Amino acid sequence: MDVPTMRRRLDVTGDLADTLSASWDAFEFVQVAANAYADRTPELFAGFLFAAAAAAEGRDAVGFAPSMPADPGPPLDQVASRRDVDEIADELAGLAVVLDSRLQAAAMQAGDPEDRAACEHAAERAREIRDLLAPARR
Amino acid sequence: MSTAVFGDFLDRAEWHIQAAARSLDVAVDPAATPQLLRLVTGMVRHLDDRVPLYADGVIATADLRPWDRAIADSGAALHRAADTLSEGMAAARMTDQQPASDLGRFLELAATSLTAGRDLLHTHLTTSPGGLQEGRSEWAPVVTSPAVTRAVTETMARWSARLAVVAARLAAGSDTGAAELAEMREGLQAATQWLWLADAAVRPARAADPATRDDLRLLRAIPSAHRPPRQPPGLGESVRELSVGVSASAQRLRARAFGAMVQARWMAPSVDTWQWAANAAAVTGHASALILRSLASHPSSPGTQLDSTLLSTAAEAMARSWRAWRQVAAAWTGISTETSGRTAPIVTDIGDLVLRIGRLAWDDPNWTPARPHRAGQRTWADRTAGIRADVVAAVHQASDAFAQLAAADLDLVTAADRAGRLYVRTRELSADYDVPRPYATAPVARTAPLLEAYRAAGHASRQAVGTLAALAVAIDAPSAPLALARMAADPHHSQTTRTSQHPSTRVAILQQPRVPAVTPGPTERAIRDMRVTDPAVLLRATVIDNASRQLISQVSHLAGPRPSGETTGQRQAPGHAAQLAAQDHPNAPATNTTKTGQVTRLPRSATRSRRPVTPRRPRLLHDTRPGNGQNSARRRAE
Repeated sequence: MDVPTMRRRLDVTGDLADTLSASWDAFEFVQVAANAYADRTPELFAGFLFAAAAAAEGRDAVGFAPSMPADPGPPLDQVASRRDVDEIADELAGLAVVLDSRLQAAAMQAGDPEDRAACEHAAERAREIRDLLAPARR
Repeated sequence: MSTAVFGDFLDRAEWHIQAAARSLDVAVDPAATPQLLRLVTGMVRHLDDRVPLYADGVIATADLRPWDRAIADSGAALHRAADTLSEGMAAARMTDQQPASDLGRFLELAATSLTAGRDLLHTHLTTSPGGLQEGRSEWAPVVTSPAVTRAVTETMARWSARLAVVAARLAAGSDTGAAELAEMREGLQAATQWLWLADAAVRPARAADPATRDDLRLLRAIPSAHRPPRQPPGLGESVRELSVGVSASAQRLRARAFGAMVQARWMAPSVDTWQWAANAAAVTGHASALILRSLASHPSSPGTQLDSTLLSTAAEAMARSWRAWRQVAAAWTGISTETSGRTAPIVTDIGDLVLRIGRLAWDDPNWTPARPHRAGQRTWADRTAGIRADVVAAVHQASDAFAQLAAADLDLVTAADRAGRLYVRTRELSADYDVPRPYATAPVARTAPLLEAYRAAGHASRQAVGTLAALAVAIDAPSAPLALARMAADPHHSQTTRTSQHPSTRVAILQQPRVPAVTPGPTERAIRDMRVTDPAVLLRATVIDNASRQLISQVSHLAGPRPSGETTGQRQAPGHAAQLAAQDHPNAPATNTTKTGQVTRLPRSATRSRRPVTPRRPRLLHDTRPGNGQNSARRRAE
């Protein structure tokens, strides 16, 4: 599992359940990856760890949404950690941007207030991940 | 804005007492007696708060531990001083009016500061609906600790000696020949002697177990129980500002952790708050470990030499701590609570703390965890001893706060688990579970690792705090009082005054010992016949005689009327027995100690009947339950 695959999954989601399921996987990926890379560079330890915390919160937000499909996604035990730290941070921040966008759109489509609240909550955490891991703005 | 501490009030009271003593060189105004009484009364209350339960009403104080004995004896002498001042004022028809002289004003201000200081101490304690006294802050065990008791008693005794001089000068100033001032002069003279005795009563304790500099430092450092205001992080804060800010956030965090444990279990945070806090603890610990390693690599600085071994040990302990906190965060995976989001107030305080510790670790005064603020590590080479002490203090404070948080969170999560308020998604459970809802109560298999992770984090955090405490004390860092407070509150470090509450050590109070008499009682006479001149011994003898007198008086009343036909030669009437007892068991301060240690008789004015002059708040060390026989007996007696 890698970031491009995650982004593609998010891009092709159709209904709310699809979006929730793909978001769950994406947050889980960010959580595992951020935890794995936190120890690689002391300077980014805090950024990665708080990104992992935000991802866990976002994942649980969509995970407990009423429209979340019953079948869980595949477990993500590990993420390839041979890549450059800045590169993975860029990719995770980019994934968070897509997550935010998809979840905001899903929130507007959701009929159930609990689904809407879950999507908004998760979108907020996606923005936090972006802010933590994105490179300096020009 | 810093938090008020007891030392603030202590300093003010001390300054005003010194000023009062200096003002005597300019003018002596006997009209300042009411202000002197007010100050003495304030001192009495401080000591009354500290009479240990097992010593409450004990007649012979010889068996008490030295400081308990000092409290009892010195407090009794101060009570007498207040009584005699009050009686002298009453005789002179002197009312409690506004001070008209510098002396009066200084004494008044000292009394006010002392009262305010006592109020501050009492903010840490509360009385439950059942009458039990309970701590309402993490400082409560410190306030009632032997260390603080020693410091308070020592301070009150020292001030007694100073006020004895003031009282003596006021007595001399009252010697105008005016008839209405004669009795007040006698009252002041008696008060002078009792104030000297209040100081003398502490001497044995001073010799056996002197109050240390650390005791006094701990007393001075006791803050108000009120949570300090938030100090939002600013841009470009100095090391000192960062350290002070960390201390404030840590104090707020500890107060919230304590409150969560004892007051607001039903307001448990959400899973999001708990998980985020665990990650924040890990981030703080990680940065702290880097700081400690940096300090260890540059142990020397102008004015001090840090123990690099201790620093390295602390850094290793800190590394174990933050790894344990990461395990806590991981253990929350898949578990949820009824609420979500980071809504708990601790989030703000933890956030402030993370930012400031990060700014001490990384060479960017505006550091944040975000990637754009990535910076190199700060180096502490060539920094002054003061700055390095501030850095150690900041790390110490932050670590201590997270150690407290670990304990509080374990408590709250355990309570939530027992109440079945931790959940998992049903679909994540094995097929063995047949739950017709999307959520199910988290099984033990999921919650046990979480609780174990909290225990491990708490243990690792405490280990780190222990090493940092040693470091803080060694270099006298600003956080040293925190280390002293933890030691004082730890029953393994200090023998509390509550430990000897065995009934066999209690003596029922039959009457207050401060009752007037004219001549020395048999105990005192026997002691004096042995040529004992120790004022404390003589004071105790007086108290014993007083108690005997009251006992005889009460028993004689209980015995009922004399049988008819019985002559006084066969059996004395109870009333007669009481009269005899009153004659033979004096209550007056029979002795006075001169500067050369000679024992002399006190003026007769000191033997007037006692009346209560010190309405009391619940004692710091007392069981105030209504059914408590000792206290209720004392109240009845009063």
